[in-house]
Amino acid sequence: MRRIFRLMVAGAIAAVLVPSLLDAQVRVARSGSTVTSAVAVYNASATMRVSGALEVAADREVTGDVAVLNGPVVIAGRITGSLVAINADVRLATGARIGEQLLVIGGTVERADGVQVGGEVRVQAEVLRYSMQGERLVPEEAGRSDWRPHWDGPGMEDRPERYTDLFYVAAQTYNRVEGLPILAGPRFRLPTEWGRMQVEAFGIVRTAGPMRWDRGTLGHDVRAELRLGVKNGLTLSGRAFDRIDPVEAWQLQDKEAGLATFVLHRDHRDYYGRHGWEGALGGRLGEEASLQFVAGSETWRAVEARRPFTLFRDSERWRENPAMDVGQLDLASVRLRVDTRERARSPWLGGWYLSADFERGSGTLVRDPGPSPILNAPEAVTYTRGFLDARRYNKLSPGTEVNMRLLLGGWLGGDELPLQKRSSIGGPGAVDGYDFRRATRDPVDVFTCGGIDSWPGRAALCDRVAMAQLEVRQEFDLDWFRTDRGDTWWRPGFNTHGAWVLFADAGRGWRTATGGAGIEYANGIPPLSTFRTTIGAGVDFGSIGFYFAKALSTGDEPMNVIVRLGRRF
Amino acid sequence: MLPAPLAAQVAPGVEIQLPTASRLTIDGPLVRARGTLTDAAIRELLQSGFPARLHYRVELWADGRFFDELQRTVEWDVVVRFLGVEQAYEVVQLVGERPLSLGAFKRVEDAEIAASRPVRVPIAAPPENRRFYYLATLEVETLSMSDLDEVGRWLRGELRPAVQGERNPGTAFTRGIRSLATRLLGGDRRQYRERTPTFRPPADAVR
Repeated sequence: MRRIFRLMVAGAIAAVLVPSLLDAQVRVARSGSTVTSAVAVYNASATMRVSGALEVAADREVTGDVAVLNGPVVIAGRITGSLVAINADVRLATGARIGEQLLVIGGTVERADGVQVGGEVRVQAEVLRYSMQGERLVPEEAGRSDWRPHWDGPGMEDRPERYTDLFYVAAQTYNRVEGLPILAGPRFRLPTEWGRMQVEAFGIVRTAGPMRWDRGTLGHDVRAELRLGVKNGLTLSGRAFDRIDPVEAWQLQDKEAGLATFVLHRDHRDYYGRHGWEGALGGRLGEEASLQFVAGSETWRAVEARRPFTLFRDSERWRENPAMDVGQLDLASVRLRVDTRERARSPWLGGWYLSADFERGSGTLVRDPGPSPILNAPEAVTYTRGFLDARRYNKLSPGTEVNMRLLLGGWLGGDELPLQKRSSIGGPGAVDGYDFRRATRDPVDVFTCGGIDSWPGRAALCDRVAMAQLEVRQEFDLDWFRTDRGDTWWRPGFNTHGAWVLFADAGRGWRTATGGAGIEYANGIPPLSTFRTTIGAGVDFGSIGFYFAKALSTGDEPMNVIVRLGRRF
Repeated sequence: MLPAPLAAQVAPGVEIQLPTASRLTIDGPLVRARGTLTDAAIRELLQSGFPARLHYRVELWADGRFFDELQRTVEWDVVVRFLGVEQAYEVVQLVGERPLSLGAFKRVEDAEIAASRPVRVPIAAPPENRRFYYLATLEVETLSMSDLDEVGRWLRGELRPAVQGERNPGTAFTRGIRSLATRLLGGDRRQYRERTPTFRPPADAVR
């Protein structure tokens, strides 16, 4: 009623003023495109504007032009001027009369018999995107940048965002050493015309019992970053930390490792303490490529599994967290990241993911003796290590992909690697047909290079690892499985859309010195015949996937069933 | 009042329509949803305060001899939510981070019409002598699955939520539990696809 009343008042005012206010600009614009004409009418000072529903009853008359946003519009009475409907449907009931034009954008017209329209009727089906500058409506430029998709896969950053939080709380991966590490503290990020500033200062509280107010329970992570250049440019960052980090984390995503620990009492990672600082100088090309030179100094320590709560098997003992080397090292590294998976219309440059690290460490360590009872003395250590994770994603047609991954990592030179920098293979995410750090049917431990049999916690001891993965994916719909329309029956939480996946993995680890037969290869890559291979198949529903994996190179290894949260890689 | 829309009587899906032959290298296709909010379960969830999200993705593919080649992709969203205080359904189109209100409506049928308005997608075929086709995918969620993802993110921890400005993990957990409960009550994600016929740009437009 209030709207009708406003309409009547506006109509009365317009009846007096409108003829003199219908300026030439509007009339000229009306000879242009539908959008131009409609916007000109909308922005004319004399036009009566309505946002939302408009209904003109049969006994009503509105003098002058009327412009409506969103609607719907129902006209049974009379409008003496033009009617413009933007992103609105118009229904002209019997007896409706429009004195001049009828312009509809982003809507439809339903017209009864006996309707009179004095001028042109123009209808454009598609929605008009616009912004409001005060009272004026400004159509949006048809630029494509906003319409670009976000790649939500691993490794891509979200868009720059501004925030200031004096007390922000976040958490890190649930694990058997820390439980849930909770980070709390201030942070801010300020995008500017010349780049971006970002500072975070978090204290860390670890929830695993027994709670002790020492470095087992408390830590910190403080970092600052300065970006020079909005899209491309330099980055300068510094960081001080006292953290507990995994030895290797490439096999599983963090959420998978966290859930396996929290729910199943299975932690597939090993951990060590890091206390120190690092500074980095780098460059980046958009979000697709970055190169960083990092220097820092760290003190490493061994940490033990504690007693975090788990949903199942809570009373069982945890796999021991392997002992680590202890000491202080100066580290220098180069980190390269390339991610062009989002890039379309570039078949060769697009579809790549590359993560490469080269690290040189130098310092003094007390090496852990492992099963030997003899304690080692501190020794000077200098090593170099490299790590490469290269992936190629090929879209062959809508819904069909062939993806490949090559992973190489380990010792490149100098002294023996510290335990913190050794590697392993086998288990979910790394040659899936084999169990995590078990080799009961395999005479040679190519998975941990000797750690399974004799080292507490089945430590990862390989100096080098190599792995190749290949998968073929084809999307499918489950429309045949159930009909959605009118179906109010309980549904399981899977998408009606998924992808079947066929895959094959091959990989192994080896020592470059003191490994014994079948494990030690001082130079080059071991014979390919010694690699452990797996084939498998599964179904990926996006946020969850189920796979069967069968070891080929060890015939009597039973088939594994693996659940992944997201893509395999 | 407007009559009940025809959309309520048709099978849900997504429609994609090529521009006229002479404008194939100038305009992109016209894309719209069809009958996506007609399901009783979705409407109940909407009225219970759970927003519906229509996520559109349109790809332009070049038809290759052996393998097809993805040329361009665009995405946008339309979110429909029930405003309890105003007893109205609000419809917002999101392109990138820019929202555009498509109105607030008393009747869910009107909200569905607004949510299904056609969109001219800004990816025209390049003026090349090749064959192309468009593929439109529409995902309809009765609630954001990102809530669930956020629970996963919270459990896996990592610094990402903190570094990248995402929300408080406690809140995420609460919303995630709500999401799970709602999915058990019938909420889910549905996907519809439609592909245009293969076309070749007109000869006078080809470089």
